[in-house]
Amino acid sequence: MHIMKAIRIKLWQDLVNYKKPTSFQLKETYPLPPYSTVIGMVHTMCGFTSYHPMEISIQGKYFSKVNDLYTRYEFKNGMTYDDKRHQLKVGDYGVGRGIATAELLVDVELLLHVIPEDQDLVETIAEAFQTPVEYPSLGRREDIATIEEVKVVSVEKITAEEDLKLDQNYGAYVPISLIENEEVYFRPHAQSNVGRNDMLGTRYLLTDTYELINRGTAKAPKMFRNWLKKDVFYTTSIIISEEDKFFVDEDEKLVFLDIK
Amino acid sequence: MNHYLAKSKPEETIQEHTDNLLRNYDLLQKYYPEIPVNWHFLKLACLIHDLGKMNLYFQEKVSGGKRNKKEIPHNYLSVAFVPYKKLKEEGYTKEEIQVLFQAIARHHERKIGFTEDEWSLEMKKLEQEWQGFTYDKLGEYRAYRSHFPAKYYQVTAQIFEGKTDQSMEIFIHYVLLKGLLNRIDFAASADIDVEKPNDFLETAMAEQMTAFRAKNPDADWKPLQKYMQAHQDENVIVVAETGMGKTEAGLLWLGNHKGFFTLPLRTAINAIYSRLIDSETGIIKESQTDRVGLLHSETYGQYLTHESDFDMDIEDYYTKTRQMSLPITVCTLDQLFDFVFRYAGFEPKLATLSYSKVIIDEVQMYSPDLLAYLIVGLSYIQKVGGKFTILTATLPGIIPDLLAENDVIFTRAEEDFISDRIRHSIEVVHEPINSKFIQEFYEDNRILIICNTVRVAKELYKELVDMYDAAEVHLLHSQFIKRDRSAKEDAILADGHKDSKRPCIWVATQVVEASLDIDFDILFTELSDLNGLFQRMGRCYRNRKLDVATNVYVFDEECSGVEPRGFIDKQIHENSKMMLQSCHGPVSESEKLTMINQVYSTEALKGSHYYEEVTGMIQYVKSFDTYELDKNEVRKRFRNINSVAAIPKPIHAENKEEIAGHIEIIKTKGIERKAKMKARTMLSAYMLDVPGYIYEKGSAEFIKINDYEKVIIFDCDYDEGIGLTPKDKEKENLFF
Repeated sequence: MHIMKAIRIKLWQDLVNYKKPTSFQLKETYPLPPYSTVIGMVHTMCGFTSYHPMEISIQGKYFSKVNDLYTRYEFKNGMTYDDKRHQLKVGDYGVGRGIATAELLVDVELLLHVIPEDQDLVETIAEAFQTPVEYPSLGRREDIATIEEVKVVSVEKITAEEDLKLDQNYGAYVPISLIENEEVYFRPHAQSNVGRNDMLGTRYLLTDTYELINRGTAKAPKMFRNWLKKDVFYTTSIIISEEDKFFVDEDEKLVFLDIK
Repeated sequence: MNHYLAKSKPEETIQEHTDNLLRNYDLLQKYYPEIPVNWHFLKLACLIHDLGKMNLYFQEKVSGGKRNKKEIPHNYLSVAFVPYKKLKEEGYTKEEIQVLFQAIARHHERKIGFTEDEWSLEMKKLEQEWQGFTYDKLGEYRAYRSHFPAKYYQVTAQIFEGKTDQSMEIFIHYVLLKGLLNRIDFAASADIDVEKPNDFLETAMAEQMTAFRAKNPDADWKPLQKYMQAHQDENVIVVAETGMGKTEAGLLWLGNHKGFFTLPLRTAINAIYSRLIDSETGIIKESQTDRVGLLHSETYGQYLTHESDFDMDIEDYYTKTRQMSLPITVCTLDQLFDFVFRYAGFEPKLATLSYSKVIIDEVQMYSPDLLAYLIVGLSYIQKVGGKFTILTATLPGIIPDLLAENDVIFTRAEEDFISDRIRHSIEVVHEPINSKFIQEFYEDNRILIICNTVRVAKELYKELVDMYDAAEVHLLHSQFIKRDRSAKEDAILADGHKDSKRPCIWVATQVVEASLDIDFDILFTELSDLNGLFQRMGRCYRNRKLDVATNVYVFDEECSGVEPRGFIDKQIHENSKMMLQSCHGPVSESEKLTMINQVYSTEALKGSHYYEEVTGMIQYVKSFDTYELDKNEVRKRFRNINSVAAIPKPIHAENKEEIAGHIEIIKTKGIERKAKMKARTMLSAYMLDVPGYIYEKGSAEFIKINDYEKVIIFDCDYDEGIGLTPKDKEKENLFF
């Protein structure tokens, strides 16, 4: 197994929403940003205009979760402006305005590993985070991220000499293949009576990358994003057993990768 | 060398205690080498299980000091000495090694009330003690480590049943290993042998036959008995009429194996037990206390009544019985089958059943919930390798169907063992049960009247007492205090003896349906259900040929105790009634079985309340995860008895001094257990089980025994003839 270079980024955010698709009345949040959100941030930070393949590992913690109001704008195809309604006038069109609720994570700390397939990009990406061209955000555009550390680290699959754990209170997205291959173990709660020792977490299908596909005709193309999803467990209670092999960076931080 | 104690009073070092375990391990392996447990692991578990007691907090406590709040239960510390590296070298998989770790870590079921950091710290501290600890028997398996790879052991992990075949297999390994470690450990602590061998039963049965032949050269085992002997290695379901020698048949099937004989009623169990150990005619004439035990909620009391027959202290005998060390145990279903809920600590029972054979008698007597436990229980017993037989007088068709549905594999005997002799002739009377009708038949006859409810039994009794003398009319039901009830049982046995000539009338409820060996001339009964009816008929012309025109009168109108007010399933009652309409005159045994088959087949019962209850209960039991419930919770659910043991107020008033005396003995510290148990038995003679719905409507006073126990004095009327009468006549509504 060769050694890979990764950019390890530690972020801090105060109130943030990583929106679950299809949640509208209450804008729900994932516990950590999904892959597509992180990939998008990296590409924006670097000014990439096309996709550069990369592996991402996401872990972190948050202190609590609150609900807060936000202004919601409602668009409808061809809705004409009606001054009797509670609308904003945009030319001849009307845009609805009202309130809705968003779930917000409080005091989020994230540890991201970014491994570009083209390892020559490592320096470029590190540079983009060390000297950002504009304010970095993750989640909604207003969810500003404070960059606490950027470090280029080497990532390698090693045999653990002691059990390895996540940092205190951390959770992580663990690709399902790692669980199926028993590369990670769960740590059951002491008084747990669920009747099993594994699969202790929440399973998500997270958006990763997308392909554009044309559902129209060649003359009048209608482009759709066809999302590729990643099957993961979000869990706070995992452990890598001594004797087992696992990807870690040079500071013994766990890296969750869905590669052989 | 340091001196580490495992126990105080009497003092015993860890090494001495472990030596005791090893001695019992050898016994178990000698008697039952076929148990599919990993014997190598079981020995290691014996060696290691108490090494965690080296920790200083435990040593302080055991040497007379106080319990330190920081003490971590020793079972969670003993794992420090599991030689997992060595076992890995020996080729064991991580799943197998997990089983050993967990069996040791959980040989006591204690809640984890400490953090992982606290645990790690204590594990590290053990190293110091380990240096000074020597025990030659550990040999090459001497090992210590303060922490382990998560793949082999995590303190919060447990081994569960799981959903796959592989996980079930591992779980069974765990149950056997932990269960047998527990058995061995308990036996070593109680200073008894973990098992007594069954090396006598086949010889004893042969001797029995020799004795028969001495009297009658043509004597031989009956066809049923031969059949059972020939099918020793199979799980068989056999229908056999009463009088076909079921007990002996069961024992012939058992052979020289460990066995449990389960029956529904304590009285029947007591009777079989007494028969087995009878020094004249019994099958087990000698060293009974090493060979056969009796297990139900009143074991100790029963042993006290037999005390003079035993050559050993009943205290030890009781311990051996409770720990299931005896080769043959006669017991109630609830003593064995509560493991179906798989509560923390259920393992010794199932592990024991893995090398035992279970004989189940009178299966038709079980209520829907017990039937459900039986079915789920048998499926587990089969999974761990135990064997069973159902030997029964009637077999409701629903039972084999439900067993098959729950993946229990069994052989249904090709033929039923019934005689072609006719004992009963029925007449169905389309009236409610009444004394006028019965009056006509009381001449020289011994009459038995069985009602569905206590209420109707009492009414009928009062009417009959008005007609005749109270000396000739008697009443028996469940609402008598134990003292009176056993006196009445003795009386009915005397009156009901087949040679008794004294005319008499006994009014009773279903308490006489089974187990009492009585033989009356005429039976009058309310219709409950067909099964109950045939059981009741067994109390009349029990073992004689029909010699009168009619000996059974069944009243099928306005029967008491039927749903929705009572306990008798409406649909079954209706079906039974339908079936009886075509029934008139003599009925043979095989006709009875055919009728039972029709009324209790799965098709006939589907949709009935009864069927829903059984299948619902099976689902309910299975729906619990392993270790979801704790033992006390299970006890509550399992018994599901809605009654309260209490002393009626008038009885208390009459016997105030005796009762106070018994309570005083139970209360006093330092009196030996035997004396206390005697006092308890005497005390319980004044008690009866008051049904919940009566108890709730009445009032009671309490005499405190200790913080957990009190004696209840229930305010009601009581009469030796009628039994309990609640204070509020209006609300009386009695079913049993």
